[in-house]
Amino acid sequence: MSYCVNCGVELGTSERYCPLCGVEVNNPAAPFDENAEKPFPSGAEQIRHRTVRVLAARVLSLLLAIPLLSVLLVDLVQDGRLTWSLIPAASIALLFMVAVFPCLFKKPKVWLFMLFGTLEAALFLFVLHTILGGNWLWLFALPITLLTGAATIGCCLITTAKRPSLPLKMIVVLLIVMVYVIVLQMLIEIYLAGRIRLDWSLYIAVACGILSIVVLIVGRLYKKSEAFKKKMFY
Amino acid sequence: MKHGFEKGGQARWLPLDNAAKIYPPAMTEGWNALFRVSVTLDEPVDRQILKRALLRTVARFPNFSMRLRRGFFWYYLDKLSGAPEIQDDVQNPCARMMFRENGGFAFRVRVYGRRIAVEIFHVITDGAGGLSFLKTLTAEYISIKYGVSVPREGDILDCSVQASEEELADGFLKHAGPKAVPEAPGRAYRLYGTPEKDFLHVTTGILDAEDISSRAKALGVTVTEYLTTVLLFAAADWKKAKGSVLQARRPVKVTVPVNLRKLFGCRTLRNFANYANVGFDTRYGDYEFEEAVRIVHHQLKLETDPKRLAAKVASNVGIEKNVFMRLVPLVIKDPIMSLAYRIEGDRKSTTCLSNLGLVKLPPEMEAHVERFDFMLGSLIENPVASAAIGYGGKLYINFTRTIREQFLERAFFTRLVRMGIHVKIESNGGE
Repeated sequence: MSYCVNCGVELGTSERYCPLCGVEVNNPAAPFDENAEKPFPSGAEQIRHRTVRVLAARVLSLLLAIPLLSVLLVDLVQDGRLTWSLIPAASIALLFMVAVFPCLFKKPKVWLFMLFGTLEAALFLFVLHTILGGNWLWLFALPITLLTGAATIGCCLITTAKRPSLPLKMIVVLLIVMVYVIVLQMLIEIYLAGRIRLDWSLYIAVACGILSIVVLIVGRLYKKSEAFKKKMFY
Repeated sequence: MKHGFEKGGQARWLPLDNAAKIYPPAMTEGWNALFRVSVTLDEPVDRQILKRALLRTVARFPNFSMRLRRGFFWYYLDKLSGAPEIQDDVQNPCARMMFRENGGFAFRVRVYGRRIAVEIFHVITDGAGGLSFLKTLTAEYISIKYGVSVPREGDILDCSVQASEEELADGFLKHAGPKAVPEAPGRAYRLYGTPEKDFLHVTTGILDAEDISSRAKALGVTVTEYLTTVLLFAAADWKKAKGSVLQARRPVKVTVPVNLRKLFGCRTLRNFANYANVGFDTRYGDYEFEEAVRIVHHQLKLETDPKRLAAKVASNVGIEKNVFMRLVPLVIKDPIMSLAYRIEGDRKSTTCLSNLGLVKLPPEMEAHVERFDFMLGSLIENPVASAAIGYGGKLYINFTRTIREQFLERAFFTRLVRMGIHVKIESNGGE
């Protein structure tokens, strides 16, 4: 008969550690017996979660495969080679990656989906560029796609991270938005006018800056709540 | 003759009773509302004999030999023949029951050494109905194995007769009061912890029933009230230790299921229970045990007033009978009910204590039965639940939890120890 020195309860002979506090049973007169009859067998039932996600991924793949094969086949039969069909094919591939890829994950990994989404969008644009030609991809579409992807991934990573406090997270997100809008307008201006002139992006950036300062002050005051309470006593 | 019954009173199908209606929509991929009653015998269980006993018992309890099906407007129970296969017991009881893998049955029988456990989905019956099933199954098993005639009295049923219409009737519909008075209890302090994936921790405390009973009697309260008070103190300790700002105003409350059969003189084998929510607000200060036990005693008395319960039941029945509720197809009703259960289900209480009371057996059975256990599967929102049952001079209290933190049961049992009560602890050994 053993007792938990921490909780004062008697422990069943099959208990090596106290189930209430985790302290090891240490009774020289009745040491823990591995073969003592346990209240429950040792094998736990595995719960088979229905694989709806995998099924959804399969059904979606099948549904998307039909139009994909159809357009490729029609184009091949008509022209003897692949021309216009590459545009719908690339669109379907993009849809496939955006819709099916997340189905394969048990837990949503948002940053990963965003990374893949950005790369897929870039690839899609590249395919369009190859078919259509022009200089819009390298100077305009691709930088904006990558910039938007980087900004959203950055926001996502910082908001889901455990470490920084909430005010700090908010400040980082606001800073990311600041940089994003400024670079976005720079890219647009360079492509359209060939020079850099900032106007609307500055309004947003200034607003973000002011908000960051407010968040910083409130966060600090919250931390030093004693002083805050004293100052705000009424 | 009521719908679902054929000539001679045999049930072909049954609409779900009023309390059961919420459980199928509330089911999720990894959860359904289960509870478990088990009996430990003096010898290892003979599976062949148990199978025979089970077939006879299931024939006596037609609500057990049924499959849950979807109708256009409501779920219903459809007749099945035979009995489920007897399974080996597992370390994590009350895990999500897959009906297809269980021959369609909404209950399963599991054996481990000398123990027979029955895990039941709440659509079939409640704790008292489950215990009646287990006692009848055990009586059948003992009478086949030892060739003794076990007298059938109380909730040990005679398997040579068929279930009556009264036994399969929906007690809620029958005993609903003339006036419907809905109750809207306020929110209670809720326990949060590190969720445990697919594992239910079971901690059993074994107490001397006589000791607890005499202590409760000395205070002029019942054992349930006594234990509920200790549990409330444990929950209050948790609240104090965690010091949540958001939940500071919420009182600690314990849900105590109330068996309505005795109150309304009903013999149904299906669900017929309601709930009382009792507790105290820790903002008033630290209560002495004697003060708190009086509060619990009076609150329970108020909440279990038959007229009030009848009005509460009438209110629940009113929802079921509402024309809009009846005419909306199940496809639409399903997600709405599921959401309603998640929002309203068990958020009105901090935890739950279900006490099935003292089990009494005829001497022919007593000679072969060593122990009874009762436990609740995980609740949908509350991570810790407790259930108690007494037999053979012992009181068995099972705590089941889906979080890692064992704070609540530790606070509960160590408080009992500090009060001078001897407690023996067992567990299912989850890391």
